[in-house]
Amino acid sequence: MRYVSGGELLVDCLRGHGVRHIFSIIGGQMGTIYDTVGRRPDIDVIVPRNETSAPLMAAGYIATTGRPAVSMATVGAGVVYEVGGLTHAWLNYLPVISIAPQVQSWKMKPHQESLQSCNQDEIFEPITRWNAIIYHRDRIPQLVDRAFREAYTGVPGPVHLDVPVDVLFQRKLTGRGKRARGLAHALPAPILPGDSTALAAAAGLLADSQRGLVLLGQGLGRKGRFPGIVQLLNRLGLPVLTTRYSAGVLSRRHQAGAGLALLYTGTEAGRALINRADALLIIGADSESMALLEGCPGSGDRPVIQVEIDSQAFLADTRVPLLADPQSALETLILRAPGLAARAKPWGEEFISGGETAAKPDPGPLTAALQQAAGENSIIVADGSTAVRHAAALLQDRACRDLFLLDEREALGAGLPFALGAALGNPDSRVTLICNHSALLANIRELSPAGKLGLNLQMIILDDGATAPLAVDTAAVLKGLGCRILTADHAGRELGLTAILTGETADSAARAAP
Amino acid sequence: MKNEITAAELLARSIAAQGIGLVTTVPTPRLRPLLEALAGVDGVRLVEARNETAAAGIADGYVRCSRRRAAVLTDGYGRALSQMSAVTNAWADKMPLLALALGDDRPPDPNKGVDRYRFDQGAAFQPVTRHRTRLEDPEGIPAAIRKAALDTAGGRMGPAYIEIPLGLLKRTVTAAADLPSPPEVPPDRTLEPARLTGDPAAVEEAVRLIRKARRPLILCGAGVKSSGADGELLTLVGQYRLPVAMTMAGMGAVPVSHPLCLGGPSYAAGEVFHVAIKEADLVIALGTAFGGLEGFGLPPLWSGDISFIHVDIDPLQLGLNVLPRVSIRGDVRTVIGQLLQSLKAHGFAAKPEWVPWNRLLGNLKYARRERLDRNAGLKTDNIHQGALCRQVGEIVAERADTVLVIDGGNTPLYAAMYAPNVRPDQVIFPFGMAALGSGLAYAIGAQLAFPEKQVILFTGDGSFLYNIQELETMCRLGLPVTVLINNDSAWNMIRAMQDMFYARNFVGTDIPGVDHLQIAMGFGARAERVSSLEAVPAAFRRASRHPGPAVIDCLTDKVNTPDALISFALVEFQGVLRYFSPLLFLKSMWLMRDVGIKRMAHMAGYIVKALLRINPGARRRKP
Repeated sequence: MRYVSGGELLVDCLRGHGVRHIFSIIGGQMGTIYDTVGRRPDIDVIVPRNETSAPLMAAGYIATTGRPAVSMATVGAGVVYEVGGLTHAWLNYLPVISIAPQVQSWKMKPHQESLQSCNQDEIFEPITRWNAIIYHRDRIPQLVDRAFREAYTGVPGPVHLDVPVDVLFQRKLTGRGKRARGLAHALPAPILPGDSTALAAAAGLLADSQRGLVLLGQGLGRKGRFPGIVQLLNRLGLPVLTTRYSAGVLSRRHQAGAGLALLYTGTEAGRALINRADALLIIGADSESMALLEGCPGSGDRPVIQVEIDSQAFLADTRVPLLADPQSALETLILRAPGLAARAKPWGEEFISGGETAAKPDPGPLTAALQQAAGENSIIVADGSTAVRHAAALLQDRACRDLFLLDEREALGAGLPFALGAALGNPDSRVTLICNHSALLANIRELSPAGKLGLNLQMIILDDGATAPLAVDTAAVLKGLGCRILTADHAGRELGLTAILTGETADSAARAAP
Repeated sequence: MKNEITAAELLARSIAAQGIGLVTTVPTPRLRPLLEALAGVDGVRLVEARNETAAAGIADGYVRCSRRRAAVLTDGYGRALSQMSAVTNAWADKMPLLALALGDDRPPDPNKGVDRYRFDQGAAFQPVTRHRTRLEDPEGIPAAIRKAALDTAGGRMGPAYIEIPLGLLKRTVTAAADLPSPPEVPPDRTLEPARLTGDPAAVEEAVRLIRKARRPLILCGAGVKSSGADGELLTLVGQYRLPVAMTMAGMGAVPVSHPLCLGGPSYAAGEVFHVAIKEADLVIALGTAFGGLEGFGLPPLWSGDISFIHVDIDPLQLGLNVLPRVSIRGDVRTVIGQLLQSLKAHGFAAKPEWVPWNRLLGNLKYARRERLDRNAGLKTDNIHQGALCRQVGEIVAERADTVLVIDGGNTPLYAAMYAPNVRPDQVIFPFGMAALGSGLAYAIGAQLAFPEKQVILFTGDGSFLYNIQELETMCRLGLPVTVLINNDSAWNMIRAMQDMFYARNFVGTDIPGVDHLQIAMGFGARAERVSSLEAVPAAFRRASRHPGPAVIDCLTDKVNTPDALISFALVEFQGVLRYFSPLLFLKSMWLMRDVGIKRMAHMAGYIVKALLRINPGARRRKP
């Protein structure tokens, strides 16, 4: 038994859930949290230079490692910067755990002109799966545990906790047992063998189909999100399209990989190919797969089978809603629809070769730079429509460990902090960011702390003509922030320049150890 | 006569019709129809920023500085929510910013389903806006914009959030020729507050209290500045010899050199403010919300026996934290006029018993200034922040055409303590949220509002990088802003807390070795570094002659802590200080000994004089 502050208890609980990194800028109300982090060797604070980047870095870290991460911003003044970045995690199904202090519990709600404060929990409500205020110190373990379960259960997404300063500062005699909650909690891929009736129906429909097509999304197949399904999908034998949320999980190099759905839906021929499918197996519906269903309705009687771990994700048009974890579901479907792979082979080949013509890769002048960036150990983050188009086209045939295609509508320049989060979590991988000048500049400040932290990042910066000419020389800005310019090709237009951030210290590997 | 125009055109005209002269944005393909329409409307200037956070900040800075209307227009989703920091600043400080963003065409999904784009974007803005609307039909656009403009100005100010479903922009509207065509309100028109007269009976009651008072005090907030009441206020103060204090947001409302002004705003005035709010029997509060920065006007820092006369245009601010004896809803300038008239009608003159009260406060003010000067003169490795503030203050006070934008944690506090003798329109800072990082954006807004003025941004090093990308905007627009960085290589306000309470367990608060010069020059700005106070004026002259942005990286010493921070911390941690470990505190004090005896003595002096209010010298001394 010893005196333990609420902040220390909170950090204990985060460690209990496997949190190794907190992305955060400090505020006075976070004193006990930072003090605890400073005294523990097994947890670190990574300090960006604007709270907007904290959840974006956490998102990149989570998406590439499968390990949990926390974004923390101070009451009001910090939180209002954070929400822009957290919205990105919300739109991309990434379970960022967001935590912020609040003013004293007895004066936080309703807002009463307290310094820096507002009813911040209400701001988070629309962009989180769940949010709560921890009013009592003793509830910290329970509600942190709940936050993780809400974030990771079913279709993942961010959650937010507000913790008043008195709850964080209150010290109480506490035994070890009371602090250990969450240690045994398994994250994030539970086994759910599934609904047997629906499995039988799904197997029946697939067995009857001639031209089945799989649409994989929601980030499934990535680290921590049932990566084993890649092998199973190859065994199932149906051609697999991935939405951008699962981009790169299956490329055309895989037997069943047909590439990215967005390359097909972008052309008439591609849409026609999708419309020829006589059964659609959606594994993890997301915004893009919903749009695909609308844009490629097929003939009216095309059955849709949908595998979800969360019943709330079932779409109204789904004929067979199959509640199961994707790994178990695929294992069962392979067993119950024997011969499917052999039967589907000609269709699969037709689809994939048709796709090569329909979704013609046009990586343009990026080819050389991208080819160099690709590799079994490379993580590629493409931010913005031009970057996405180039990267998607080229990389569907080339190897890379992870590919992220960020939609510029969701946030401007999310790619840089996202890539830095990925670099922190994967010190042994090569991380490359592809974006235009405008996206690079939006959060460019983050190169400063990242360099000090020892992170390495390669950047390919495009002149895509999407923005008005900038007044600055991007190469000079990058140099000012400590980057090395590899090529600066102003004559070649589209490929603006490639640059590399080489961390000042070599301790990133130590920092990123799980 | 009927004609057909697009909804985008109608929206552009409706925006211009409300006298919105500046629209800041980050262009995207989805915004293009609206941006093109805005570019075709007379009287609207479109300014592109490098991200949405800064776009909103620029518009907010423009409004704050000029009291003219401005709007920010961005794409939706995360880009819309990136406006949140500036919108919240505007909300906290009651600024009529119009925040427009694209939204999803479909209604929000109340079940938060798998189509995450259907989240309730408008709901996120609910707690920090005065008005929210979604433009559903093209015909309703002019009225909706007009209503948003009305709701955000006049009686109760604050920002508005206007959501534009993307599909709306593609629609057309057949409208009468009497469409809002600019300018319904001219773009150079400043926002005049509603000149609301106070209830005469309440004014009479207030005058009765003033005549009875033994130790009166005027506290003026931001409402004095937004009402343009500084002239009337000086008459009231001068004619009746009433001592006057400012809230943080009211900074600049009274010249600090005025003999009856307590000095810097709020607790930055140190012992004089603490003594005033403990010993006054009457406080005439003008246009203030009694927020956290002022300790809510309540014990323990304030006396519980004060009678308050509270004047504010917003009826919901009256009695929000203190319980006034007299509440007067009205425009501050008008009500001061009423008070002056009534006092005159009663033939009232300053009471002789107020003389010793004023003398005490005057003594305390001058003693504090001496102590601060001594402290700023301490030998340090680099420049002392206080001395730097004095220097900046002199530059601002010397030139009437300067605008000082302040950004940071300790930096604004130093600026307040070593308060320059500025006019009400010379300082901008987001007091309500006290948020870091808006400085570069505010400076751009200020320079756009007053191209002929010298805009100085005085910022901490932590806050400087928040929106560093806007140096591009400054260069592109050729804005000659001079940026002075108070560079102590730390998030030093919080680092001081780790120093005092956590035995120097410095985690996440040191930011050493950031080369601001390299960064600024990379953007094409002029940049130089100074490490001595003597070098600052010449560096400033060189910077202000430069046609574009210029950065002066002033190296300061992180070992210094502004003493008034203790008072603000007492409010911020009210009720939780008992949880600090006493052993850890003692250990911290022991470790802190190497900051030097003089610094420790200065802090101890603050505690004795301000918090314990032991000032025998000041109570005895004649002026």
